[in-house]
Amino acid sequence: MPFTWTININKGPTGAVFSPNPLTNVASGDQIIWANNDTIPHWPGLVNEDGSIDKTFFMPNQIAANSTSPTFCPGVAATLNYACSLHLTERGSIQVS
Amino acid sequence: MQSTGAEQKVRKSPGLDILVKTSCALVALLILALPVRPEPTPGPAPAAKAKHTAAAHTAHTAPAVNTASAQNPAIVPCPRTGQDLIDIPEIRRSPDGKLRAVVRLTDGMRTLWGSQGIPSAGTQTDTRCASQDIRYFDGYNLSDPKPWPARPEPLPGPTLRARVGDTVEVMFLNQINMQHFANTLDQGEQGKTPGCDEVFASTASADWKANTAYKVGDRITPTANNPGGYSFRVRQSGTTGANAPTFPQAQRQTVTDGTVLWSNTGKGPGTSKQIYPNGGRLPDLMPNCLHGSSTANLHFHGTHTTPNTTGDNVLLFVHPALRVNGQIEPSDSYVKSEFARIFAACEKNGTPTQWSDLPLSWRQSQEKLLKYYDTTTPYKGVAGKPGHPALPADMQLWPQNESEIKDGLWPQFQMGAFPYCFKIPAYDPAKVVMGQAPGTHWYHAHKHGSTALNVANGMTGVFIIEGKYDDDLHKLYGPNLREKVMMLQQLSTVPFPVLDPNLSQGGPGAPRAPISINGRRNPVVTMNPGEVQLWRIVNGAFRDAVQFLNFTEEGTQQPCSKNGPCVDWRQIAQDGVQLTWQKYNSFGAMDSQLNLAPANRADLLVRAPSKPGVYVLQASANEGVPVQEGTDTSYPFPLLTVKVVNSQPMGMNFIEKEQDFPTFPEFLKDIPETDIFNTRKIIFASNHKQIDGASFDPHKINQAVLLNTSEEWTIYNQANDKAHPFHIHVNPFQITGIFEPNSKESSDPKNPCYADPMKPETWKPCQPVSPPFVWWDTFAIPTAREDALPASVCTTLSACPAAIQPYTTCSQNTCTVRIAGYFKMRSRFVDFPGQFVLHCHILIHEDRGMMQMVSVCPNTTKYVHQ
Repeated sequence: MPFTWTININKGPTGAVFSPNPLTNVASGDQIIWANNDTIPHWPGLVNEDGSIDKTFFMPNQIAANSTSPTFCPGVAATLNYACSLHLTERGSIQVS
Repeated sequence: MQSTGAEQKVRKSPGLDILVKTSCALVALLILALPVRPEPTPGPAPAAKAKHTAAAHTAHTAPAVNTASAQNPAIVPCPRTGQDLIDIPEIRRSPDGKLRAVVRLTDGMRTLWGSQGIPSAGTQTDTRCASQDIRYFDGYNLSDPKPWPARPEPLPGPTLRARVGDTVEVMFLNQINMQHFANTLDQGEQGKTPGCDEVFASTASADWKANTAYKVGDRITPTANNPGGYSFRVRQSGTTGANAPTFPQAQRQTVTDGTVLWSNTGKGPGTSKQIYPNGGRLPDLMPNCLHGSSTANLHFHGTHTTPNTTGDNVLLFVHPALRVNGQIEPSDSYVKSEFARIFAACEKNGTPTQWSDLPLSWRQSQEKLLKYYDTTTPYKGVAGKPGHPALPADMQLWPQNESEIKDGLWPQFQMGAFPYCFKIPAYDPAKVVMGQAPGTHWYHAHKHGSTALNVANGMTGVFIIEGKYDDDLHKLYGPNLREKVMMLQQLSTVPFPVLDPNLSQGGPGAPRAPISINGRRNPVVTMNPGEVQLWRIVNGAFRDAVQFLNFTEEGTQQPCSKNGPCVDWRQIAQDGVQLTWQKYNSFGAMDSQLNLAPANRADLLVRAPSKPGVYVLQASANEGVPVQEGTDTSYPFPLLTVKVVNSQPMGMNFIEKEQDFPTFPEFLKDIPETDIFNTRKIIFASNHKQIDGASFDPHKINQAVLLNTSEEWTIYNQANDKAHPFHIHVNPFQITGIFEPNSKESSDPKNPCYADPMKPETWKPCQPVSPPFVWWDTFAIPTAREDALPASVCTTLSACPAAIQPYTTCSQNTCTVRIAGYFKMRSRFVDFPGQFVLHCHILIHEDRGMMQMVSVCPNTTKYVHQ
């Protein structure tokens, strides 16, 4: 069956860091959850081809501190570049095969 | 009506006098177990222990729940085929008639398979395997502790082996590390949602449309003028032109289409939306949705025992133990010392009837732990602290417990551990109407909202209850009779199908978790030539039925039984209840293609041929509709392989004489029609979420039954795509009639047994079920049939014949008659008053509301009229 993946949001020296980054080996239909281990909210959103951010692509709201996101299931093979829509320098990607 | 021994026992128990004054509804407030004798509350625990626990908790400031930090899956080579069947570690009874077991719910990395595609539906198999963090049972014998095997296979929990008349003492520990799993809480899920898990998914974007308004952010994947199959996003809103433009084939390039500006986004990412809980006419709402998946309990499936207090009580929520300052609370040593006292009292007095029967120290420590959880659990990202809980009051666990205790109820929320203790009743007419049927039963987690996920993770185990059945078998076969215990599982971290983005509407043909046995797919069972083995088989799949088709010689697909040497079987028990000699010769005829719905069990005598060879048991995974019916929901697969080795033939055979067959228990004689006190109709809906037109309401009793009466129920299925497996706790039932509208006989207009959609009076079984009746505790309700009526009959409901209007729906000038399948069953609601559930055993249906509450009410009163 599909497998379940976790991307941790950890406090780093200059902002939050996504781990693992990139997230690989994900297949269409798997489940992904962001775990915000930081003390402030974060909100991963899809980085569009023009650099803008579609902040509700993965989840409708920000992830509160010490909380987890809803589950996201990629149904299409793609490289999903994402960034925290609250802290634009915090970036990551997911490779979906 | 003549009173029974159990009734007399109720009347004679002084501590239970109050019960006989109560109405049925009030029984809900009085937790009652039989056979019991209320005793004074045991003395308080040693002060040092209580003090130790209290002190430990007041010192903590860390939040009770943190975020997930699970180890991610590691893609690994799939396990090779042809490996031996794994023997599940067993916990056996002690000679003094006690089963002393520790069953621990924990988590760790186990190897799971990708999903199995359905060939006839054209869906693909995911060939990956991964080491994935899952929740599972392990355990050990308190009297003889041994380490649980460290291996990658996702084994079921320990096999429990007791005997009729024993006292079962299970120290249940929930030690899941909540930090490894998101969405694990019971109530408010930290304020993120109303409580249901939420899932968003991306799917392939829609095709380009002409003359259509699009807004910024909309996505398409054009099928024309787009040879690379790229996706495009609206950079500038507007309306498309009449003809598709030539779409640029490099990422970030743009094209103007009417007044829309499209930008190439590369491959993907698709269009995302929320797929769970999904809306529609009947959205999933708390508590009938997926949630709280690390909380658990134990259902002792197939036991005839009390559903209350520390018995087969599925209304409990055993929360994962807290992890504070690196320590598990409550600790194993503390639980062990407290439960030793609880179990000692249970052995002496029977199952406790009141929360106050438990040691004060244990009750106080539970209160402290629950309060600690309530105080420190984060809510909307803010951690609570002593004196200032973040969780709103209605999301806290202790206030709920406190209210229940105040009302005389057994509190539902337990923290980290629970002392299951109950008697497996031996048949004694002076004490019970029915005894426990000796046979193959099982246990599994049964926490509403996460039963499917819990069982999919592997929270299952076999529970063998021995008795005269076993004595007689071993008397006949002697020490040569070897047993194989098999737990069929459908392992996954993702319940099917609502969380699959491409299949959010469910539907047949979706890939699903493959069937494994004891942690391996198609394992090998070794037999000697001419050997007969006893196979105890449990279908612990959370979704699929498994039909046993036939054995074939390895490398062929032809059944071998009619062509020469082959492995053959005879069924001798169903759902943990042995067959009668008559049914052994019909229902249990050689190589009969049994179809085990989820939760069904079968005991098979399996005979190897007299010469060596390799034979494969071919099976089909299905939804209650066997593969021969040709639906695309089924798929064939090799369930297991028998390797007959080259050794001295054993010359064993099936049971051939009635005097050699296990003696049928007296208390399992057929329930005669004259014993039927009441009849009911129960309807399982086509929407897979409701019974009798309503979703599960935890505060409502749906079926109130009088203790020590027999009833006959007719259970209908309105679904035409799922044979909902009906299951009821505590008491088994006998099938006395089956109507299958989709059978060849009932669906052939030329057959005299044809179920005519215009004549409801013809909707009845083609053949009667002949006595003696087989006992079950789970039975797949035959699917419904839908027949479209010719327009000449009617095109609107009011124009249809009155006789069929209740079963007809009309839409767009087409009317369809739904002929529900059904079965009739008789059951004795005896010995054990209390509350328990009936539900669909496709467990995601149960989680989403296909469940009802049953209350068995005392049938005596102490009031006098003088």
